[in-house]
Amino acid sequence: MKIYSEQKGVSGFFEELVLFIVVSILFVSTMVVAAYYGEMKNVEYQKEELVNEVYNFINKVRSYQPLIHNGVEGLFDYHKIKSVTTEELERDLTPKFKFYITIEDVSDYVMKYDAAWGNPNNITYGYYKVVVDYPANIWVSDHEIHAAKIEVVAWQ
Amino acid sequence: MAVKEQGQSAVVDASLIAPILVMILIVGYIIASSNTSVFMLEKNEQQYSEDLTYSLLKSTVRYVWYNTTSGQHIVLEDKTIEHLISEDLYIREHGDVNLNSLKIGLENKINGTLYQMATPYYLYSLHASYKNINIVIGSHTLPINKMSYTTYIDMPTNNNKAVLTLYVWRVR
Repeated sequence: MKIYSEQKGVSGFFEELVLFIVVSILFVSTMVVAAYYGEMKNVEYQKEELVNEVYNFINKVRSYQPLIHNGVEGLFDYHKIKSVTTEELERDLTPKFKFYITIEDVSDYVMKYDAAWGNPNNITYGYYKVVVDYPANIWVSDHEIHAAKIEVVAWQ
Repeated sequence: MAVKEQGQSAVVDASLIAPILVMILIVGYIIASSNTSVFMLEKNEQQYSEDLTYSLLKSTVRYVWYNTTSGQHIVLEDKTIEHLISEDLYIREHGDVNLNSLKIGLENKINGTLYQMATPYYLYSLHASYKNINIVIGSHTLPINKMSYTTYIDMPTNNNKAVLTLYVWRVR
């Protein structure tokens, strides 16, 4: 018996056309998602950079000699915090962002020693805005140290 | 018997594999790049828990009180929170105190100060222990993700130390 079989191969392209279309759609979808993720990541990255810069800035404020008592980090002198200006902070600490800083006296003492620097009215002009709270103290005397917190609102 | 088969072109397969490899690389990159920011946040929060502990212990409280079991009303003014915690442990150890008054007049004041310093972004749980005495101020349950800082404070009448641990976790 003679068996004759002639099988012609398909060209490949039409055979895998469906697969090709599926992979193309997946590829385009992945690229779109990646582009979107990249943009989101970029915004998140910028914001995280700002958060880290704000933490560094808070450390600088907490160690800023014209504000603190006896060189103790985070121990603000109640008298000094009234005399330092926003311009002095900008000049000496050189932040890379706009800021509004408050030192809030959260102690149970009747007399409070709050302070603020910067202009809160400009915050709405910022594209990225972060708020960081950090613990601090306000020195009034060696027997009276108020619990406080420093809040930095930063925007770019 | 003659079999004649023509093979498919491998070019088509190759053109499909390339985008799949690119997609795998992109997904891998996305997964890998999501971890770096968490590390920085944890570093900042660990530092936060340490600084919060020191700021708290350094703070003085205007006025606290408690009653002894014999009915004596004790008032303490302008004492640091470090002092108040060690005194709390000491008088609990010696037993001559109305525990309810201690909670209301002294521990609530410490809790109030800590609450003002930590909220609205963090919650906390302060644990202090000396010998078999333990006090907890703030939350009595701890979440899985939290930062902590442990330090030692002097007891009032001897050179012994009490252990103090402050747990903090972000809520906003």
